[in-house]
Amino acid sequence: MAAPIWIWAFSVSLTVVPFVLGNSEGDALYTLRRSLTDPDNVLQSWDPTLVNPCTWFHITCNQDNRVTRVDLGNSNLSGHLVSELGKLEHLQYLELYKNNIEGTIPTELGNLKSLISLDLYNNNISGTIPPSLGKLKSLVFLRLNDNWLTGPIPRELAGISSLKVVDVSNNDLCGTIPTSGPFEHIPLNNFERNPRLEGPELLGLASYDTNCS
Amino acid sequence: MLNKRAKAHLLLFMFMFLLILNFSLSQGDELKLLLSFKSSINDPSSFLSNWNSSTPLCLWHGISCNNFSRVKVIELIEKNISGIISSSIFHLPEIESINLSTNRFSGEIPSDLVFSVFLRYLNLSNNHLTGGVPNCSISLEILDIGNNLFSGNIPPQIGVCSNLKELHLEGNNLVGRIPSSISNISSLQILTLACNELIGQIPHALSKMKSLKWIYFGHNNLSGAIPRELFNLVSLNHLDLVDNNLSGQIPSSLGNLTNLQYLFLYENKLTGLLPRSIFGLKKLVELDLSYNHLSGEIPELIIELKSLEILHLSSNNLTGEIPSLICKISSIEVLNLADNNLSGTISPCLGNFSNRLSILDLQSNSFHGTILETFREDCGLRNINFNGNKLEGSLPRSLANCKNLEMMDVGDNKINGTFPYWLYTLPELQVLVLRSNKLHGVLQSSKIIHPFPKLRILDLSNNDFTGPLPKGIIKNLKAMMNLSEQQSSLQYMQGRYYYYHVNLTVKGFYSEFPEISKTLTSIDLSNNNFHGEIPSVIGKLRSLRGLNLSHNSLGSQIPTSMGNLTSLEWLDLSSNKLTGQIPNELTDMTFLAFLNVSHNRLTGPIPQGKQFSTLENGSYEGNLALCGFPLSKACNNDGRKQSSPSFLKEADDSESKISFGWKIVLMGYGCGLIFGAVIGYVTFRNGEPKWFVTLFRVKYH
Repeated sequence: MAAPIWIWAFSVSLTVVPFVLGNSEGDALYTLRRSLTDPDNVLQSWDPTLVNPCTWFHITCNQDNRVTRVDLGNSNLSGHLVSELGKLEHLQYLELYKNNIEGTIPTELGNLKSLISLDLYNNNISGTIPPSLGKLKSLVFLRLNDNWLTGPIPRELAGISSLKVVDVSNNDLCGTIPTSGPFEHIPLNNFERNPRLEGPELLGLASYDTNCS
Repeated sequence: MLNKRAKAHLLLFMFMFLLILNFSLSQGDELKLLLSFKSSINDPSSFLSNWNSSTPLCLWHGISCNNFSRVKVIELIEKNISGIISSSIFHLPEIESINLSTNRFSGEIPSDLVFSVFLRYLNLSNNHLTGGVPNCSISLEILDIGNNLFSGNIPPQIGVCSNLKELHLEGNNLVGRIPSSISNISSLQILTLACNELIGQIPHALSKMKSLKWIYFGHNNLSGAIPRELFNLVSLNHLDLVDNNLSGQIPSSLGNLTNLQYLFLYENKLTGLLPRSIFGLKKLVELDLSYNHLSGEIPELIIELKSLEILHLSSNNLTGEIPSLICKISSIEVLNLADNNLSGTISPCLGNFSNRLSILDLQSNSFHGTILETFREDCGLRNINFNGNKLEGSLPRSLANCKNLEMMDVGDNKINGTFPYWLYTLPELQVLVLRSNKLHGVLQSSKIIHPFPKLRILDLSNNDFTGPLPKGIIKNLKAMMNLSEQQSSLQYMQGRYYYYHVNLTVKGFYSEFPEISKTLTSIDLSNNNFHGEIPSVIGKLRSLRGLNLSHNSLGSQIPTSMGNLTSLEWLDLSSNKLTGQIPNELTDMTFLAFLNVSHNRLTGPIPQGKQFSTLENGSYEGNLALCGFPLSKACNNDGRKQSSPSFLKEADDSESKISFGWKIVLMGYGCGLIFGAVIGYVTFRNGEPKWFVTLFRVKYH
C-alpha cells in the first residue's frame, strides 16, 4: 500500500532536482569569482542571488539551464582556479586563456565529463598536470601552453581517444612525451620549449620517467 | 547618650556608608563581568581597547551607565567582533539593553540563562549564533535574534516573555510548528518568523494577540488555510505570509482589518475568488497576491482602494475584463496583472491613469483590440508591457508623451503599421521589443539628431520590415557604444517593488531574463526582409553583447569593422546572402561564445585562433566554399594562407610523426644483418683472419 506513495514521492522530488542543481552550478562559479581578482569587472554580472547563472555574462547554458561554456579569455584576471569548477557536469568549453591566473590545475577538473575544450594557455599556472584529466573522455582540445607547469605529461591522457589537439609548449615539464593513442598525431612542436622534456618515449621497451616529479 | 538628632545623623551616615560600600563592591563585580566577556571574544579592530581597570567603567567604549553609575547599556554594533558571548554580561545587575548585532559571534546561548530583571532590550541579530532559542524573561520588551543559525523548535516557553513588544526570530534554521503558547505574549506588536523552515498551520490562538501590528511569516513551509480568526487582529498593519504552502481561500473576514496597509500573500496555493471585503480596506497601500491559484474576476469595486499604490495580481487564473474605471485609483504606481486569463480590450482608462502610474504590466493575457488610448501629456509611465496578447492595430502616437518611458514590450501580438519612429525622441528608452508582430515597411533614417539616445536592447525580430538596415539609427545608438563596465556595482532595471523582465533570443535559445542588467545590450533584427549591406558603422557599437541579423536577405560582405565589437558574446548572421570571407578581425571578439554564419554564400579560410578554436562546424554549414578548421575541407595554399599556425596538421605529415617503434628497430636490425653477412662471406672466402676461421672450423673450399 505504501509503495506507490514512495514511488510518487520519489518522482515528485526528482522535479526539484533541476532547481537545486541549477543553483549549485551558480554557487560553484561564484566561488570561482571570489577566488579571482577582476580589475576590469568582467564578472560584475555574476550575481549568486539569481535562480541560475544562465543570464550571467560570459556564461552559456543549454536548454535545461546547465552551464555549457565559460568564456573568460583575455580578461585581465588573476588569482587562482577552484576545485568547485569540477561540479559543472555539462561544461563543454572552459576558456580561461591569456590571463594572469596562478596556482595549480585542480584535480577535480577531471570530473568535467562533458568537457570538449580545456584552454588554460598563456597564464601563470604552476604545479603538475593532474592525471585525473585522463577521465575527460570527451576532450578534444587540451591547450596548456605558456604556463609554468612542471612534472610529467600524464600517460592517462593517451587513453582519451577523442583528443585531437594537445599543446603544452613553453612550460617546465619533464619526463618523456607519450606516443600512443592520440599522441601519434600530435606534432612535436606542441611540446617544444620544455627544457627538461626528454623527447618521445620508446614503445615496446620499459618506459621511464627518471627524476621527473 | 545621643539625642534624636544625633541618632538620625548616625543612621544616615551608616546608610550612606553601606550604600557606598555596596556601590563600590558592585562596581568591582561589574568590572569582572565585563572583562570576562572581553576575554572570550576577538576584537580585531581593537574597539574594546580601553576596557581596562585604569579607565572608569562608564567611559568604556560601547558602555553607557545609568544615574547610579551602573552599566545600563552595552552597544557593540558592527565591530567585526567574533568569539563566544559570555553569559557574564547577562549577570550585570542593572543592565537594561544589550545590542551585539552585526558581528561574528558564534556558539550558543546557554539554555539555563537567567536574565537580569532590568533587561528590556536584547539584540543579537546578524551573527553566527547556534543552538536553541534562548530563554525569555518577563522584563524583556524587544528580543531580536534574527539572521543567525539558531535551530530546533520555537520553544513553547516563549510564552513566558509576556511583556514582549517585538519578537524577531527571522532568518534562522528553526523547524517545527509555531507554538500556540506564543499567544500568551498578549502585548506583542511585531512578530517576525520569516525565512525559517517552520511547518504546520498558523495557530488560531494568534487571534488573541490584539496588539499585533506586523506579522512576517514569509519563506517558510506553513500549510493549511489562513485561519479566519487571524483577521480579528484589527490593529494589523502589515501582513506577510509569502512563499509558503498556504491553501484554501482567503477568508472574507479580511475586511475586518481596517488598519491594514501592506498585504503580501504571494507564492502560495491560495484558491477561490478575490474576497470582496478586500476592497473595503481603505488604507491598503500595497497588495501582492501574485503566484497563487486565484480565480474569478477583478470586480469594479477595486476602485474603492483609494490609497492603493502597488497592485500585483500576476500569475493567477483571473478571468474577465479589467474594470473600466480602474484609472480612478489615482494613487496607483505599479499595476501588474500579467500571466492571467484576462480578456477584453485595453480600456481607454489605462492611458489616462494619473501621472503616478509608472509600471503597467499586462503580459500574457488575452487582451484584444487596438491600443486606443490617448496617453496623457504628463504620462509618467516608465514600463509598458503588453507582450503576449492579441492586440492589433497600430501603436498610438501619443506614446511619445511618455517621456519617462524606459521599457516598452509589445512583442508577440498582431500589431501592424510601420515602425513607430515617434519613439526616437524618448530620452529614457532603454528597451524596445516589437518582436513577433505584423509591422512592415522601411526603417527610415531619423531626422532627429540623436535618435534612441539610451537604447540598449532592440528586438524587431519576426516582423515584415523591409529595406536596408537603418544605418542612420545604428550609428547614433550612443548607449551601445560607451557603456562602461566600471560602474561601481551591478544594477538592474527596476521600479518600486518591481523588477523589469524580458525574453530575448540569446546564443540560439529564446531565454528569460527575470532581471535586466543595466549593461545588457542586444540587437535582434532577425526574421524580417532586410536587404542590402551590413553597414560598417555597426563596428561602432563597442558595448554590444549580442547581434542577430539572421533570416533576412542581406547580401554584402561581413564588414571587417565588426572586429571592433569586442564585447560580443553571440553573433548570428545565418540564412542571408552574405558573400566574401569571414574577416580575420573577428578573432578580436574574445568573448564570442556563439557564432552562426550558416546558410550564406561565404568563401575562403575560416579565421583561426582564440574563440575561433572553440566553434563547431554547425556554425558554418551551408556556405559556398569555406575551408579550414573546424571543417574537414582544408584550404588551398594559393596565397590566402591563414596568418596564425593551424593547430591541426594533416595526418600524413610524416616528418612530424613520432611513432617509430618497430620500423626503426627493424631497420637497424636489417642493416646489421646485411653488414654481418657481407663481412662473414669475405672472411671465410679469404680464410682471413685465421683465428676466426679456426674458431668456426668451417671448411670452405
